[in-house]
Amino acid sequence: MADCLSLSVVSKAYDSGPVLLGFSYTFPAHGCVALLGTSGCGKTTLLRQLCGLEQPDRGDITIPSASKLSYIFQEDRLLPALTARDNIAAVLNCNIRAAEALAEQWLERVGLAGEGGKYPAQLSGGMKRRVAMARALAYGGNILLLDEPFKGLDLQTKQEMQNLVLKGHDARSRLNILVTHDVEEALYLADRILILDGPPLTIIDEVAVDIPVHSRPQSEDVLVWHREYIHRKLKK
Amino acid sequence: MTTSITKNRTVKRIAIKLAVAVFWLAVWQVAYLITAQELLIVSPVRAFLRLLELSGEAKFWQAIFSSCSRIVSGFILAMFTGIFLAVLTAWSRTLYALFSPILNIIRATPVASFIILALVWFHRDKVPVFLTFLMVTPVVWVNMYSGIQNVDKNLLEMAEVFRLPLLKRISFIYIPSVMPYFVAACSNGLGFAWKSGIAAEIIALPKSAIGKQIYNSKIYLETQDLFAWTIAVILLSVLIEHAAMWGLRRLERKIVKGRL
Repeated sequence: MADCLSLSVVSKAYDSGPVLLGFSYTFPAHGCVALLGTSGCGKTTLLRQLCGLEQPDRGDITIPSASKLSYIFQEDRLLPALTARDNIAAVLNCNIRAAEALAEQWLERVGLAGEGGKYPAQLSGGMKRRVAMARALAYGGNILLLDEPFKGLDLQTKQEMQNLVLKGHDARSRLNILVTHDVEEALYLADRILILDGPPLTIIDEVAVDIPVHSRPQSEDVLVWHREYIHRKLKK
Repeated sequence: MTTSITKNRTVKRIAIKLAVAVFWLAVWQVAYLITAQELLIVSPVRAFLRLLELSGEAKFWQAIFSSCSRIVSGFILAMFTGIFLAVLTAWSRTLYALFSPILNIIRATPVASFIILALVWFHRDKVPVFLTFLMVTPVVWVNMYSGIQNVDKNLLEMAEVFRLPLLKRISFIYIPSVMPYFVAACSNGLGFAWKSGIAAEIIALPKSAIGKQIYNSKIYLETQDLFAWTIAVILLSVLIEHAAMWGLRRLERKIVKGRL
């Protein structure tokens, strides 16, 4: 498991108290792992440790060599001085023409064709979300961290984005770590669901959803069983 | 439709500005009529006519050019120093603690003390440059420091995650965030620059200077000249400020676009 992203006895405390206390877990090399838990249990802190935005007080985080990590933040975090197209192009490491062309392609894939020239202030909340997703996907990488990425999207856009971000062929070949507190979302998208509690962050249970991701809406009877099981665990 | 709305707004804005100017000119005229002494207050018409008269003389333009070059030199020097100090003190708390007492000293010390001291240290022609520099540097420093401190941390984290190079971070995050503070620094700084620069000229009396002309008008009790030169200073200050703001806006757009 040397080529897997893992945390070993990681601790992190803030003024309010410990959020991670000897937390250990090894993620699979690819697929989608949902971190499911109530707000404030430490899910975002875990993501911040993984991407290096914060350092653990103690413990080790092993990131596989030659990993490239991308992140869809809870907020859009778009550069206000740049257009939607330039926000995507800015994170790409190629010449400006190629970057802009790639940005346009991604805008089209998230349903924003022709909107590339608009500034974040001219976009709706949902459109900004989609630009932020397009930026993270265009940046690429073999690990994608998603912090409640579909929050605030209308039902149809949410499903389109979920399919684009987590159900495509590219998506299944990388490791996706999805932070959510929506059981349905986790069941619909993840291969493994970590049921979490905290702080300090604790794994209550790990559920493997053994249904091919593309046939999940049709396997309702199996999902019902999983759903009830997870809800029981969360109530405990 | 949009163009017509924008035009209407511009016309309205200009009309408001003109109305304000007319109001204060009227107040000035009333004050002149109440005092009825040209030695105390000259009429607006008399002051503007005298300014027109002066502008026909070569020494007027010499004084304008010399004062402008001194004040603008001091201002530019202060800009660079202020920005440098802001970056340095925002980067290190120790350096902030080390440099911040200078701010308090400059604020508390009377301008006249600095002018007299500068007269001892420098040639009289250089005193206005030094004074402008000394008075404007803290203004730029404080504004830029606040600007850097208020840069959106979320955007910096985003830049960190996506491994944005330093130049892109500066162009896309720092410059757009700091720009409003820089514009405020320029606007306030230019006001300070003219005030302190002309005050230094009045005391140091360098060769060919607006300050020297104001001093002469005081000595010879030429109140209309005093008003005319003061109007010239105000007009110059407004003109340079507008030119600087226009230049800054263009520069910001170029930097942000050019770094992609």
